[in-house]
Amino acid sequence: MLEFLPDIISSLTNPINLLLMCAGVIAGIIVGALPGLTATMALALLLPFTFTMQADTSLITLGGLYIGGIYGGCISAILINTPGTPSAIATTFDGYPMTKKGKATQALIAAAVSSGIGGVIGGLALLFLTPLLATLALRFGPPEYFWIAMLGLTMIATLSSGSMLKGLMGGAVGLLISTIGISPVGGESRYTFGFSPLQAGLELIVILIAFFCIPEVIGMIESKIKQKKNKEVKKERGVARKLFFYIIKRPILVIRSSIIGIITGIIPGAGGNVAALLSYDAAVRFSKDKKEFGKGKVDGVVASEASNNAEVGGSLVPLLSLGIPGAPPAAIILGALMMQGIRPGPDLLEEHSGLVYTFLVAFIVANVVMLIFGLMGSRYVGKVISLPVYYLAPSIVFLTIVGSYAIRNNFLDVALMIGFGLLAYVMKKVGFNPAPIVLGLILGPIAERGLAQSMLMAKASGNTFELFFTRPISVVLIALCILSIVGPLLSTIFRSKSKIDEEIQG
Amino acid sequence: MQRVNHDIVSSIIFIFVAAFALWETRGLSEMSYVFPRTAGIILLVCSIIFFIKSIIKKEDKKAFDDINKRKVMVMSLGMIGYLIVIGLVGFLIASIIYIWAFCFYLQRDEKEKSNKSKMLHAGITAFGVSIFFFVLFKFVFAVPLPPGIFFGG
Amino acid sequence: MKTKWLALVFVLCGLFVLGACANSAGSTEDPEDYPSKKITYSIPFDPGGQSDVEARRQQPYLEEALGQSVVIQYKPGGGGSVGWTELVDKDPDGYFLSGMNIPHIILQPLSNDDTGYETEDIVPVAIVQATPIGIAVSKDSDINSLADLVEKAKANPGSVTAAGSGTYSGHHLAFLQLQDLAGVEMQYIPFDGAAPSVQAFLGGNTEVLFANSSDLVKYAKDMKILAIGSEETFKPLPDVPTIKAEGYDMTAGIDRGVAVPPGTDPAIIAKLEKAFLDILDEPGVMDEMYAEGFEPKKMGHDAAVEYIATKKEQYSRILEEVKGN
Repeated sequence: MLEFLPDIISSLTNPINLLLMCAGVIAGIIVGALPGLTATMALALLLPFTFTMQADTSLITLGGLYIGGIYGGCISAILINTPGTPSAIATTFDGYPMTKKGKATQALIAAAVSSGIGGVIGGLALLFLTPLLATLALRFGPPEYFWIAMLGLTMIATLSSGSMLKGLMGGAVGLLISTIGISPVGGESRYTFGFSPLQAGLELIVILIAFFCIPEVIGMIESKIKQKKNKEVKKERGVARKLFFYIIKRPILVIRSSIIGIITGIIPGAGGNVAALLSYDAAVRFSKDKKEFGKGKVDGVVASEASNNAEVGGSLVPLLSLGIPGAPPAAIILGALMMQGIRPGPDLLEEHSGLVYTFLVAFIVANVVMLIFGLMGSRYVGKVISLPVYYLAPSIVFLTIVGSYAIRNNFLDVALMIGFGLLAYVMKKVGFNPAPIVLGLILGPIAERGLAQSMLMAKASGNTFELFFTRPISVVLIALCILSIVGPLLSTIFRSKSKIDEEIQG
Repeated sequence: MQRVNHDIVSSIIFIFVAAFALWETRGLSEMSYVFPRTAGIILLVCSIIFFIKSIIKKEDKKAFDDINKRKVMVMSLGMIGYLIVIGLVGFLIASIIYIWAFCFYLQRDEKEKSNKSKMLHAGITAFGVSIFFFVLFKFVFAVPLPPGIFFGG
Repeated sequence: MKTKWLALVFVLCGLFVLGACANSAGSTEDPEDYPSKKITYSIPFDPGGQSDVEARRQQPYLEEALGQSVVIQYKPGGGGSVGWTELVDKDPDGYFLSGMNIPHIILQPLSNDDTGYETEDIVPVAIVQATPIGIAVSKDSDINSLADLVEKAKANPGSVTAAGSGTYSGHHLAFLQLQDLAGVEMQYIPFDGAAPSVQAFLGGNTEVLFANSSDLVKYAKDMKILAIGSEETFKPLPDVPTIKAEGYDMTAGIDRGVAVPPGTDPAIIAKLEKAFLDILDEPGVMDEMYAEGFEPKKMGHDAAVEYIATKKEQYSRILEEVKGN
């Protein structure tokens, strides 16, 4: 790598490259923050412009946009409970409660810092571990996908605040609505009622907006008592520094989240949303004060943001080493490479090492740039939320409409968003939390494909047990599933036992 | 007055949803039905347990008591209306109408403000927000916005 | 309060009338003047895919040839069916084009009754490139030729697994056709897209891979390509025999082109046809396609209509046999 140092330095000190990197990051943040505009879409828009650029400039700009886009999603997640990109879904769990407590700025700063650190860790992994991680990526076959989805589904226990039974029901509803459309393996239409636009299934972003945002908007105006001046954002000096050290003092949380992000990233088909959910779940399980999560705990935001930004680096691993994009935005970067006349594939690293290493170093630099912009922006963006409700609520509804239309240019999606949104409001009122439903919706397709493909593989090999239960990664995932189901049970038994002991002694 | 127990009602609805989902999987091939059928059965079983549980342990929850029902209804109908108006006159005009109307409506509790200034502020917000995002999406991001039957965009 | 609502209703009515007027004016246009405004080019797949790359390649040439801006727009979903359903409902004024993939537009209406369009409703303008489908096995497999594969599949019915992209898709149909012609039984495992199927294959989850020529070119070093479904030897892979040469009378591939809504004026179709086909003669375009693993194809409107009809007849027969069993 060292022999490319002059190349890297000359490319990174080129003012045009630096300028475009910054522009990419900022544009990414804006796009990411607007629900319905995704990093993928922004990259696609930029693609034709990169055609005339130098290869390194093009990659640097796109990389910056990708990084900014994933980070930007947290802004709307924190401020209005709407993940701007699906990756920010777990950020809503604690980020929005923090906003409700008047700590929006803290949440935004925590998100910026942990995103930056997570992104840099992801970038370092990309730089040094790519060949190793690539072999790991190939070890994920259909059974492993099935088990990783199952592991994600055990999170229902963490997410169903209140009633576990209601959580399970919500999860099952989510799984069911994920099956709307053409069956991925069977190829038949399901639950479309002869209505052809439903063949494509429900769009995740549309459902996310419906289930997370609409109930909150109605909630803003529902109270009988006159709204008092809306949650003033508290001003504090040195918040950024304080939070920075708070996060630095929790290296395990950040590193664990980043590792989960990287691993999820290298598996094509599981994106930043799965990464953030799994890492949030891990953060809750390993925490001493589990009860605080979901009520505005900084650790929740850190876990989610560190991992979804580390995922960006991870998703580029299979792209650079195998030519397989690990996530939809990576697919566009692949398109950009092809337009430059570079065919990404197993030989990319050997044939274009200079370019690849320049890109990787720029990728890490772009994460730092993102961190700086994020910190600068947090001070001002947080103020949006202190606008009076009567301006805020209609404007948010407006944005949800734009977002749900823009994602697929489909008016049906807007209608579905409003319909599901009103349904979600009622369900929330009667105690059905939206989180397990959305979890089912995200993991449903991964689980279904994994299950059906594994069944076909088992049919050919004639040994179902071996396929599902003996592959090494599957065994690890199964063990994690069991741990995550049995763990909480054991701890309750243990706790009640120690209580009894205390009573006996007392 | 005997209150309707929300748990019982919702569990019955979910039982119906599950039964319907299961019924709809008939006639599909194994690869297409295996997953929705599994999810449907889980939902059915959980809903039945939930139903039994809520009959045994009747909790008198008042889910919709502490809210301003009228405001919520108006807001919900407003969103549906917004949708219909978009379909008719396109996105930009519908948005201006919607934001204007609702900024005004939601200010009704602000006693110290005169109607005229409410109307004015709502109007400024409506035009400002709609036009800003319309331009941003349509011309900067080149993202098409919903057209109406009568107007292009 | 009441008067305000009344006022609102009144304003709405006014808007209606205004809108109706705006719409009725200037809807007919002389095809001679076409194109006189921007053209929307819809891609029924996600951005960054192969259809997108192709459209982006065409875009600057089209803008120059037609003298109008061409805006690329995405309408993904249902393996393209959402985009094509939109296409057939659009005004046939030549200002809305859509990417078109064969066999997708034939197979979707055949395999699901609730597909929102009929194959005949999609009016092809031109077919510009083809992606032959090839059959590959792992580098260290004991299979060295298509004959070996058939032999192995005969000896162990149903236990040879093959990865491909999608069900009732080009890959699936190629698989079924080969199975039928060779009289063997194998297990097809569909993945949602070409990249995931390549990944599963490289990871050793299946023995055989059905893949697009572009992917085969990319991974040529990591796998043994047994045969390819092109009519003649495929230029970027000169050492690979065609399936036909191996003794099975079939071709397999995905053709990409562009289509307009039904009822479009023939003069407009002719203009677009020329614009699209001329792109292939631009210097460097064909070489670029070959380097990416595609085969340039120059097929105009009439030829494409006929081609689709023959393909449809052929595919319906195969599907009937499958569903009949």
